[in-house]
Formats: sequence, structure tokens, C-alpha cells
Amino acid sequence: MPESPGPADRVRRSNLYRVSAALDAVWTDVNGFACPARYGDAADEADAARGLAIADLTALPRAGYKGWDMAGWATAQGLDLGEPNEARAQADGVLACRLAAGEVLLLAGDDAGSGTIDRLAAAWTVDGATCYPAPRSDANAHIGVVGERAPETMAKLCAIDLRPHRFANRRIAQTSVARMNAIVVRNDRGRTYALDVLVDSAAVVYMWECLTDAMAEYGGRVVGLEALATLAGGATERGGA
Amino acid sequence: MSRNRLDAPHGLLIDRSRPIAFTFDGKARAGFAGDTITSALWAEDVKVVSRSFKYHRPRATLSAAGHDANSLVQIGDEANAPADVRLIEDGMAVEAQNTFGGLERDRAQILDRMGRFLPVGFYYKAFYKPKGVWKRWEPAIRHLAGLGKVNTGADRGYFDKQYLWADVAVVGGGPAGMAAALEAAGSSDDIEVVLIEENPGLGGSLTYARFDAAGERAARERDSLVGAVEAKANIRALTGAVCNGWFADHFLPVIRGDRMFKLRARAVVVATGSYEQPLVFRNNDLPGVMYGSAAQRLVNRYGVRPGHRAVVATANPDGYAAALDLIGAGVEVACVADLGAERPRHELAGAVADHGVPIAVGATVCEALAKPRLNGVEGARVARIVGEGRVADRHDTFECDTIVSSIGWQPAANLIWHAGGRTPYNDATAMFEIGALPAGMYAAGSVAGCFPIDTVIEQGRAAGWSAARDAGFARGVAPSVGNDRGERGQNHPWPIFEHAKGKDFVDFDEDLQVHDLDNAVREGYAHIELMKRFSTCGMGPSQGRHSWLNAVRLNARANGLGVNEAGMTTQRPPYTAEKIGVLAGRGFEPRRYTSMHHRHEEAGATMMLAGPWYRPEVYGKGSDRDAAIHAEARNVRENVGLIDVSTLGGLEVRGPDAGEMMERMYTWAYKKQRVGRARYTLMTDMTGVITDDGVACRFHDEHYYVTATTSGVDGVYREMLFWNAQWRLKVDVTNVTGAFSGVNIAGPRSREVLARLTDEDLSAEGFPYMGVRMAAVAGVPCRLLRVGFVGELGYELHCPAHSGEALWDAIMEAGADRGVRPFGVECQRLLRLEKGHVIVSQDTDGLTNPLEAGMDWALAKKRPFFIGKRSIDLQRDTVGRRLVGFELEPGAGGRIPKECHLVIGDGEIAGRVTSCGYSPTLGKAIGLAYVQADRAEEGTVFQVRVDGGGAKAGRAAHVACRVVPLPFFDPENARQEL
Repeated sequence: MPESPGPADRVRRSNLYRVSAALDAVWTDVNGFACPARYGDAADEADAARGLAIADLTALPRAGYKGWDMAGWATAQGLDLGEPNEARAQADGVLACRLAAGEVLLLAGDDAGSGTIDRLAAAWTVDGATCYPAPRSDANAHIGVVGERAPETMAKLCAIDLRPHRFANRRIAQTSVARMNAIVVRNDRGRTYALDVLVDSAAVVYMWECLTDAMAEYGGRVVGLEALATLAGGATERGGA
Repeated sequence: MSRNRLDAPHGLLIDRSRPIAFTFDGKARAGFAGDTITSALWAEDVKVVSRSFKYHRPRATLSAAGHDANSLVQIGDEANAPADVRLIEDGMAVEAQNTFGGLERDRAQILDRMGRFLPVGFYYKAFYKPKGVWKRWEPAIRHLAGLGKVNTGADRGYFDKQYLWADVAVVGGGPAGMAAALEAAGSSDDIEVVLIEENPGLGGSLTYARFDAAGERAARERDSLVGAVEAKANIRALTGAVCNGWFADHFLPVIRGDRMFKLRARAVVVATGSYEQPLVFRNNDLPGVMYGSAAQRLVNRYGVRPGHRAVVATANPDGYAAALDLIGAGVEVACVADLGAERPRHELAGAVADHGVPIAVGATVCEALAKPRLNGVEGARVARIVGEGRVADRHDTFECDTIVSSIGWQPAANLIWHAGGRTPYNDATAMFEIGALPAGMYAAGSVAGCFPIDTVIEQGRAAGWSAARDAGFARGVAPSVGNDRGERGQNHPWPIFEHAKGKDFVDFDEDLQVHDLDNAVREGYAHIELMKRFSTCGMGPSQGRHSWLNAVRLNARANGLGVNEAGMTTQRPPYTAEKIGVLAGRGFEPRRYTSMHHRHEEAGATMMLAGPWYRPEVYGKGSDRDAAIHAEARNVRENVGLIDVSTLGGLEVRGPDAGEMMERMYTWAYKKQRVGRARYTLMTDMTGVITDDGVACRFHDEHYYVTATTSGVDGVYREMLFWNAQWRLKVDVTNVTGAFSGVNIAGPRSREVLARLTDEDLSAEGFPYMGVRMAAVAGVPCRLLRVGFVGELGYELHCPAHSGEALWDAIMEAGADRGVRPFGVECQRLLRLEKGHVIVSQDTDGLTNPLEAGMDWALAKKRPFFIGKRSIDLQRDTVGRRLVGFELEPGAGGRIPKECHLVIGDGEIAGRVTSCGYSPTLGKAIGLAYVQADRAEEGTVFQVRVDGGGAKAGRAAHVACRVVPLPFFDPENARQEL
């Protein structure tokens, strides 16, 4: 991935950017953010991530819609919706996470591809609306918790049984993590177990500290976007700043 | 080599290749890896490790299993560590507890000779009269009776918790538990079994007990079962872990080290074994008197010889097994006193006899003869039993240094009791036995009254099968269980031999003797619950493990009842002592930072907590706080200031019925509110009490963006969702608090600064007071609200949270040459006070209605309904207090009231101050206070009791305050509407 200027030069900044900068992040341009691409050797990070790692994915595009007929409108826009607490990947890699009968969360893939997100945003109008945009991009921060020891790590913070044989890929848990509301989506990267954890963006530094503390026992480390792309089976191309 | 250390194969659990050095009471000691403190010390012939709680008698291990308080020691800052089970570590510094002048020369041992002056419950009688004297006695008594020392200045330790899940949880890693785990695990490859064992390794009684004369069976079964468990991928063995309780739905707290596992299981097998019980006779607490299982633990687990010459008292095969192990360890067994009426026929008894050991049938140890200073046993008196608790006058005396007793067991049924299970007493076997169990719970092994090893294993398998079935993994038919309970019951029905001279201990923790419990009943504390509390029997660290069976028997006898009629006291978690740190865990305290947080820190702000949010209280630190606040206030009034308001709550109310929703939730009118305008919002609950306020910004006919207080927004959101679930309006409510950062730029130059960053028409005509817009500011999409809390020309900008820092930077840069400065929460509070604005939850409380708060202007009079309207209407004529503005009258002497200082009228409390401070703008102290409604007229003077009443107790200073009209500043609102 091309390197890009640092986050302090951007209008949009993850609340974790100082943490990443302190770890000597190499930045890449994602969705107007400077996103940590890697902290050291990307291949090493990918290897580590198979065991346990966390990544700041806040820069990745996301959106939400909520309302009494969200399903009717979203389906009419061609969105493939699952049942509540089920996520389904769209053709462009966007994950449609259905949080309730009337609420959906859209997560771009690690390549930041946001075709579905952009298409729905363009289609939505307030006039005659039966559902409304939820500002997920700023309401939430996004942390990837990756690797085979992620369930054990999460078990120190969360009461839900997230082990792979109990919590299937693309399942969603809306729960409490370290006493904060969180949306936890199992979203494996390739054959590597992975969770997307979305928390209140104002509390992301606290959550990051909790995860860092919890994973220390298992040798977890912080990785960048490139490591996740490697696990998913291919590097991603993205323009620099 | 240590004096009492035995050669291999004794010492299953120690690693002789790894010597460990530690200290006890400052002296260097040595042991091996795997040794407990008790075993390592005993190997070096150090038996006494503590002094008893009340009489300060020397104590040594009784159970070698931590089932009593005898072995409690201090390790560094850790008090009351059980030496029986705590493994030694290199460099560990172990100290004896509860001594005055050291373990050997404890000055408090004189209390042992004062026993007759310290009868049961003495502290309830002797130290309470005359009235008030207890306060003098209490420190001395507590000082004398303490256990370990707590270091209240110790650093915070690291503890944490982890959730764990299992289909079947098996508690107890002995033969029954392992058999249960294996059977359950064998039902399916998919089943998950967690096996919890409190010892460092699996095996339970198979690591120390003997089941056959040859002494081979235990090892054979152990190797077989442990090997099978370790080979099972779907069994997770948690060793060194204690399941400390049972809670609803099979929720089990399992403590291992500094971590608590919160285990949720579908079914539970309790295979926790049993506690050996003491034989009660004179001096049965001397060092060297121990259970048979304790002797076997020392010999077989740790390779430690318990003594040189022993007398064994027994009522079951276990005593004979212990005798054989003693013989095998080179201990001369002088005599076996069998409390039974007939000579037993089992092979263990025969093997003991074959060693030439005399067996006295129908006899018991009735007294231990003490060494000088009670530091050990030098003999045992054995006498024939002639009735319940009675022995013949004639006795034989045996020289010995060890007395071993095996007279019965008490099921370790704590988890069963926690779950509501019953364990009725069986008079025939003299045991508490398992009765009805809760659904999904099974018991196996000695906890279920089963002792023969074959039956134990069969019972374990049956329990494991049943638990697996309950967890949804039924397979085949249930394994059968034999009925062999041994030649006779394990328990002697009355192993209590009271001595005329006492020191026949029933409860070792609390130094309670037979006559103590009898006296408790005689004094009227007859019920078992009363006897427990009066005598404190069972209330010590071991929680009745070794005392309760005999105590219940004594209580039943004293009351002329059967044991079942006497009953049991309630057993609650925890099963054993647990650290507060373990309960607390890591301590998750969520913190929320605005996106400008670091800018505040860089500007030298003192941060404060508002709920989970960190907010800048004032920019500056230390003693110049007031000056800093006043400087900030002046800059806002005279120039331009910037405050971070990101913590304000934000709600989107959208849909065709959004206006209807707003009018039902809030007290004012909103359907006619024009798009592009903001309006104040006041929320009340169904009793008419003020719960929150904010502004509603109408951006579209069907879209209101509503702000709420920092701490109130979650409650407002919850209320809206609740009511909309009832009303089913076509409206969606979304809490967007975290999605927006917010700043308020205020002051006469705010328009000038903001104009540099946006193309929006900011003129008074183009963007009037209470107008709202969406506009780009410094390239950041913002919601602009021309509202003000501080009474100056100002704009509130709400932008996407991730752009908050960039927006802050842009404004600070744009206003640098105009003197823009950040201001904090304290300055904002002062400025709004000057304007007389109410802060909900500071100037209101849990009973305040809008009429009292002077906010009836915010009530829609003509609307038929909003939440709280009817309650408010009913209170219109009964308003008892009113919120008023006040100024200090001359003569206050610089004493400014504080929040919650009391308003005094006719010598009674007549109200309270809610806000008060010195206004640099006005040059005087101003405030808000609740006063009686008939004293709320302008000009009325009232008294406030303030700090600084002088040295004379009971006198407080009062200052006079005068009611003045609100607002204090700019009553025409000319400044904010510029």
C-alpha cells in the first residue's frame, strides 16, 4: 500500500491516531483518514495476526440505516439482508450486518470498497423515508480482533461465547465488552478467525487499552491493515494521499 | 536430609531435583518443588505454625488440606494463607500469625490459663456495661484476637476474570470426578467438559489414600484415570482451581490464582469429596494430633513422616489404611483404638494386625498428654467406651508423638447447599447424605456418602452420563452403580468424649470446647442458628468444615432432638476464602474522551469527570483556579471563547410523526416550530418532575435534532424508545451522541472569527438567534445552532466526531489574532448563572417540577397531553418552594454559600442553595436557591448557613441573602441576540 501523510494533517482522524503514531505506524490513505497500514514488517504482522492481533479499522467506510421499514427499502435497493444478528457479504465485499428487524449496519471490507454504501447513500431521500441514516462512520470506532486466540481474549471482556464452534462466521452479538456497548461481528479474514468490534468512538481509547491488556497474556500485537488484507488472501490497492 | 523426609516412592507430588529455599519466621528453610509450606516445615520437624485464635495455643496441621485455621500464615502482605495447600516458592517469606513476641514465646499464651474467665460469648456480656465501655475494650480485644495483618497501603494487585463455557462441569478431580468427566466426554466428540480440581494435579484421594492392603490400588486407578482424562481432547482440566460457589443456571465462579473464571455450564457433577472430622477428646488440638488423611497426605503426597510413634483411633477402614501408611513410613504404631463395638473383618484391619499392632476394640483415645508448653504430644490415653461419649475410668497410656484419628467424614456438599440441595442426616450411618438435588446437578463419590473405590468410580460414571444427557448428549443407557458402601458406615455416631478439665475442642478455629456449646444452649441460644452466632461455632475461616457435624450433634443432644430436627444452618457462597481483588477483577471503568481531548490537555486544562466523560474544568492548574475561571469568563464577555460541548447528548427524531412525538415527550410546542429554528426543550416524567432539557433543532418537517444533557441523554433515549413502543408512531429515534463533536464559540467577536471559516451568512438577519443551519466550516460539515448558554453572541457547531479536532484547530487558528481562548466547564457554569439559566440535576433534584423551578414559561398550556402534564396541573396550587436568584447582603464577611448550603427560616431548614459563585462581571456573589414559596418575593431576605462557624461546636455561620430578579446579567438578552 502506498504510504501517505500522517493523521494530524487530515480533517478526519481516528481517536486512536496518537496510539498508532506512538507505535511508529506507517500510514495509508483510507476514506479521508490516515490509517495504519503497518507498524513494522507486514508479513510478520500477518503471521502474528494468525495467533492474535488487533487493528484500528476506524478509517474504513461504514454506514447504517434504521427505521420501521428498513428491510423493505434496503431490499428494494438490492441489499442482501439476513436475519437479525446475521451479516451477509454483498458482491462488492461490503458486509450488511442486520442488527434488528429495522436496522442494518454496513461495513466496508478491508480494501475500503464502499460501492454498496455509496449506492444506498445516493438512493436515500428524506421525503417519504421509511428508514433513516445512522451516522455509523462517526458514532463508532472499528477495531479488528484477529487470530485463533481472539475468543479467549474476548472472554476476558465479554460474556458471550465467541468461540468458533459456538459463534459462527457472520454472526453478530450486540453486547457489553469491558462494560461498554459493542457490536461484535464475526468476519473471518480468509481462514483466520476475526471479529469486527464496533464501539462508541469516544470510548475507543479505553477499549483499545482493555484489548491490549487482555491480549498480552496470549502474545497478541497491534497490526495494520496490510496484515488483514494478507490474511484475507490478497493485498489491496489504494491511492495515496 | 531433613529429619522427617522419606525416600521415594513416598512423595508423589514433590520434585526432589528442584530444591526450594524459603524462610519461616525469619529462619532459612528448605523443601522441594511441590511441597506445601506445611509439608516442607514438617519435613524439618517444624510442626507448630500458628497460635489459636482465642487461647493462643500452639497449633499445627490438623487436616493437611487447609480445612482448618491451624495452618494459616502470613506471606508478605497476604494474610491468612493456608500453609497446608500453599506451595513453597524460592524466596518466599512466611510468618506465623496472631502471636505477641513470636510463635514460640507468644506472650498471649497466658490466655490459655484464663479460659474459665473467658466463657462462650464472654464478650457479649463482660464489655458492654457500663454503657459506652465497649468502645474502650473493642480495640484491645480485636488486637488480641486478630489473625493476619492486612497492609492497607499495599499496591493494587492485578486480578482479572474470564468467561468459560462447558456442557458439563465436573467439580472435583478425584476418582469420582475423573470417572464422571470421562463418561460425559465419551458421550460425544462435541461435548465440552470442564474438570475443576483445587489441588495442583488430578487424582484427589488417589494421591494419598489407600484402598487395599497392598497399597497398589490407588496408584493403579490414578494412572488409569488421569491418563484417560489427559488423553481426552474434550476435557479441559483446570487444576489448582477452586469452584467457590454455585449460582442460578449452573453459573460457577472458579478461582485460579488471581483470576476468576465465570463458568456457565449446562449440567454439573459435584464430586468434591468430604472433610474428615475430628475426634473430640482432651488436648485434641495439640501439634501431632491429626486426621488419618492428614498423615496419609504427608506420607504419600510429600514424603514426610508424620512422627515416630503413633496411636491411631478409628471407626472405619480409613484409620487402618492410615495405620498401614504410617507403618510403611517407618512410624511405629503403638495401638489402634477402634471405636466400633466389633473387630472389623476387612483386609486392612487384618493387615494391621499382621504387623503386630495391638487393636483395642470398643476403645478410644480419651486424652492427649502434652509436652511442656503444649508444643506437642508425648502420650495418648486410651480407654474403653462405656456409653455415648463416656469412657471407663481405667485407661492405658501409650507414649507417642502422633495421634491419628479417622472417625468419620462430612460431605463437602457446599455447592449442593448453595444450589438448594438437601443433605438429611442418616441416623443409621451417622452421616449427612445427599437428598434431593436441583435439576442438572449430580453428586458422586464420598460427597454422596460413597467410599469403596469401585462404587465411587461407578457412581462417577453414572453422574457423568446423566449430566451429559441433561446437556443434550444422551448416549446408550445409564451405567449401573453397585450398592457396596463398605462393611459399616464411615462415621462413628458419637466421637465426642468430653473431659472434666476441658480443652476438648469441637471448633479449632474459634477455640470452642464441648462445654462452650452446651453452655450456649443452656443460656437460651438453643436454636442451631442462635447457637452458631452466640458461640461463633463454624464462623471461623474453615466455616464449619471440621466442626459443624459435632456441633449439630451436641446441639441436638442438648435440646433433646434428633440431628435432623436440630437442623442445619444455611450455607452460602463462597465455599472458601477468596480475595476481594479476585471478586473485583480487573476493574473496568469506561472512559469517554472527546475528539478534542488532547487539545485540552495540551492547553493545560484540569480535567474533570462528567459521568464517563472527561471534560476540561478549567484551563490551568493549582491555586490560581478561581483567577483562571474569571479570566476565561472575562474573555467570553469581552472577546471570544471556545468550549468543547461534545459531551452533550444528541438524538435524531425522524419520521412523519416526529412533531407528534416531540410534543408528547416535551413540555412545549414543536409541531409549529419552523424548519431552521431551534426551541428549548424541557422533559418531565409522569409525576411532573424535571428530568432533562436541551434544544430541538428542526432541520426538516420530519426531522428534529434534539440535544440533551451529558448525563441525561441515555435516559431520554430510553424513555423515547419506551414510549414509542407504546404509541407506535411513525417515527425513528436514534442516539447520535457519539457521532458528533461539538464546540460553542461565544463572545462579541465570535461572529467575526467564525465568518473566516464559512461562507454562510452569519449576520443577525441572515442567521438570527435560535436559528439552525447546515453548513461547512473549515471544510467540515457542521450543524450550526445559534444558541447560547452563556448569554453572549454565540454559535454551537456540531460536526462529525472524527473531524472534531480539526474543527477545533481551525477555530483556534482563525481566532488567534482575535484572542480566542478556550474556556472550561466551571467558567460556563458561572456565565450561565449570571444569565439565571438552570442546570438540570444541579438546580433541580429528583422532586423538582417546572413550577418550582420557575419554568412554567416552558409549559404548553393548551396542549391536552405531554408526559407529566396532568401531574404538573394538579400541583399548580400547592407549590411549596421556588427557585429564586439571590445576592449576598452586606456583612457576609467574604463567606460565599456553596451548593447545598441550607436556607434557614425560623430556625428550620427552609430550602437550599443550588448554585452560587462570585461573578467578576457583576462584581458580587450571586446564586440560585430554593426558598419557601411565601418568601420568594423580590427583596425578601433569607438566611443561609455557611461554612466557618468558628471553633465553638454546634454553631454555624449564617449569611443574609436577598431575593433578586433573574437574570442577573443582561436582562434584555441584547448580547446574545446581537
